[in-house]
Amino acid sequence: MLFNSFQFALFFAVVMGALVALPRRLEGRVLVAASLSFYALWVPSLLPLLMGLLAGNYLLVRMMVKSGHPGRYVAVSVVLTLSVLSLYKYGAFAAESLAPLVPSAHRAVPKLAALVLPFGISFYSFEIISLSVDIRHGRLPCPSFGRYVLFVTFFPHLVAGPIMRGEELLPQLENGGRRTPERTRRGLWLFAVGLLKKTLLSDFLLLPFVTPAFTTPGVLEGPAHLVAMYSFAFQIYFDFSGYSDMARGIACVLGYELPTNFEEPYLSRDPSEFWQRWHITLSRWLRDYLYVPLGGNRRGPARTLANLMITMLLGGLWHGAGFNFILWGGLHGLLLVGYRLLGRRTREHAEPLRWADLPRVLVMFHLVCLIWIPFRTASFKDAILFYRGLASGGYLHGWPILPLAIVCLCAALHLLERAIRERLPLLHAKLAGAWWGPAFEGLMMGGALTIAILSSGAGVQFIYFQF
Amino acid sequence: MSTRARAVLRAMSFVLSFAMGSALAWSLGGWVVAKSGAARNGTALDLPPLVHKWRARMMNDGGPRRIAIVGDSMLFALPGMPSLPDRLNAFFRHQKGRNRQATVHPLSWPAWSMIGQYCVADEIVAAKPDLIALELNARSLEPGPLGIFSYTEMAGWIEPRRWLEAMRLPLWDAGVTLNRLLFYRLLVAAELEAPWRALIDRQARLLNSRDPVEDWLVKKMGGITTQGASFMSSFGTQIRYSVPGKNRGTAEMLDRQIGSLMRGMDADSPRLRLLGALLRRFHEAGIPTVVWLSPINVEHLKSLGMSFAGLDHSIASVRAVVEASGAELADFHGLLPDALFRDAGDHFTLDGEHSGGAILAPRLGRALLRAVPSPAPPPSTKENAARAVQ
Repeated sequence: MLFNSFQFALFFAVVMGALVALPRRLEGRVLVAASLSFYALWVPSLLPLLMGLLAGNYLLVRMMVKSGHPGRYVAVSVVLTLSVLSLYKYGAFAAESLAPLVPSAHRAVPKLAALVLPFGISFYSFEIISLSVDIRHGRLPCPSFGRYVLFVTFFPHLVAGPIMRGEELLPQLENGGRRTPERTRRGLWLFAVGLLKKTLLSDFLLLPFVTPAFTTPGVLEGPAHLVAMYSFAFQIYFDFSGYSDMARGIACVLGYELPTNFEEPYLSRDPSEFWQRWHITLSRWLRDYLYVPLGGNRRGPARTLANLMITMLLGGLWHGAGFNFILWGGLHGLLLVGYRLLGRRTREHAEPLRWADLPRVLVMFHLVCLIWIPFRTASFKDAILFYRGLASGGYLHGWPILPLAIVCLCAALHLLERAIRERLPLLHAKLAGAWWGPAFEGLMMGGALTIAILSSGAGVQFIYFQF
Repeated sequence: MSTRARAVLRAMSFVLSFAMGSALAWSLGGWVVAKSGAARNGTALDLPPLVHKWRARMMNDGGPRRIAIVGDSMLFALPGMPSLPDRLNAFFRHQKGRNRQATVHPLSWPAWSMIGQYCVADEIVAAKPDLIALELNARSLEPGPLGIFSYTEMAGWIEPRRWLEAMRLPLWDAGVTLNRLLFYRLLVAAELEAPWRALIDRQARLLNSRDPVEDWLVKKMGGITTQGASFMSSFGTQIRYSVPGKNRGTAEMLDRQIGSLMRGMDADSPRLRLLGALLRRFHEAGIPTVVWLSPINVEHLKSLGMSFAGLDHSIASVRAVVEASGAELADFHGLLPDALFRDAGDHFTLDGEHSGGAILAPRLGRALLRAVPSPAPPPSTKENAARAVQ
């Protein structure tokens, strides 16, 4: 179920009630039951696939631990998981793409197309693979089956991440959640902010203009295309980062910490920094479990560039079965490769932003926005139409005032996010200490929640659920 | 003050402020709606009053036989032109003899497909029609063209005894997930429909308050309005997916809309499974059902060179599902020529005696007459007296 739904509010109230009422030693079981129910309450028939995949992989992990040839078992685990992922996610796409070459593939298309993508499969598949690999390399001890299941299915991150690493969550699950007033307060804030990002900014303010502009590219004038391009960039950011904030907030209230997934990516100064700020948990997964095993930058410059391209192309494909996603990944790969060829240094994302960085930030933001276009359009043809729309002129006739104002607001909020994030511990401490703290927090959260409910009229799913 | 008392005070101040914040935001929403005067689009919440009215009309009909005709926009009227149900009623009025009399009661909702119909199946049964004439729009067999099902709240109408079946059906890919099914049922069972409607109404109006706000902004600051963007987008889509100079779909659009039907559907395809479940519900209630496959523009499809290789197989699958569920199929898919369709959605013409509606109505009427049970004998004088006493 969606985090921004009444159903989830009821579900969460029941889970919290159970956690508070039942003895602490049962916490793990309560969370497993809650997580499996969370998934089954979406579509019960998809639960056996998830459980089958978990049981199969756990068996392989156990055998791997006992075996003298662990590499074989990890290979089987990876192949099994990727096969299931490929069948559901890429089966129809592969059959359609192969049909011109292999006529018999065409017959398989309807059957494969009828397989509906199980929620969260892209996310939990990666987590299963990372667990197998980490246990194989001795970075993690083999957990019990209960912990293994809970690690993958823990409901705050089950369907759309953050993509967790064993070392981050397993110890927390082992020790049980640490619920404190401070964490509850922080969790509620995170949830409220995430909810507003999703419902008010992404769905209510940005989406109504993005949809028509991208559905029929080329119909509106140049400025409208430009503003729609910016709007989509912010829409997808607020949608996904809003979801991630909510996931982190829910986990926080339960007493667990999930990693940050976004750190104001549109303030990046170069392609490498962008990927340290955008969907951070996916980027590091691709780095650690794909780029590095491919050889990373250890096998010479040419191989490094090839590895970068392969990683980004596969990263694009991870987002969806379509040439537009591959193109999107490829374009980002080219940016990274180009940047490396220019010999520019890679910045650490922690380096403070200066006014002198403004031109770089603007260039990077526009490059990212341009690359978003094939990601959003329905086809390659539409992407070309959109680019043509951008170049169609009309920039002196007037600009779409409301969408432009919304984009400016979003940009300001993006900057504000950075300023607030840097001062967050101080703000929390101040609110916790002040006599007016609870009243202020209550007022803000009550208002935010109601505004989020009122602005949920569009009732749209999270964009990243489809991946 | 003790620590405990302070904690209680802080908690109370949080709760009170939370309520105040909510009330303020709710009022602000109401103020924006009132100021903007925004109307709202149709939502699933408009359906219950429609169904209640329909049911009341059906129950109050004292005629010999009552036929429920259930469908989508194919049943709609156009200004000054009789709808298909109007023509069916005219057909039955012209029949001679009590055995050939019937009244048609249309229940239609745009693009609700068999997903929506499955949700309201219990309501249809509760109206106790003598026969159900269920329209099968070829486009509803394809999961894609109608997009994600917009009326998920209809799931609240599914009776608990059908939940197990509903969970196994491919309803969820259209958005009717188990948690929604349970939640909306809870709203119905707890009689919370009124506050829910108030909330949805405010949400929908707020969503539409964008236009007046934009008007105000443009007046104040200049610039161009985007109010036409949605319209231009739909218009652009229509142009893009229309054969130049004709109000007919391109091969690309038709492939998206009825591609599966043309390529060949098996009886276990998702939408046919749903159709089977819907028909079984009617059959269990002892209500005979005629499924009529609405006309598709075969002539136009041929002119585009589209393949008909799988159409016969698809129709055989539909027939197999319909008959296995105790219903009958009246297949009108190839009935009308290109000239008798008025748009790319295969809506037939309604004007005049040579319109699509005029040609379809008597054929459908005859199919319904064959299927509808004989009317009960008129009540005797004794029974009439007993009724009068009651």
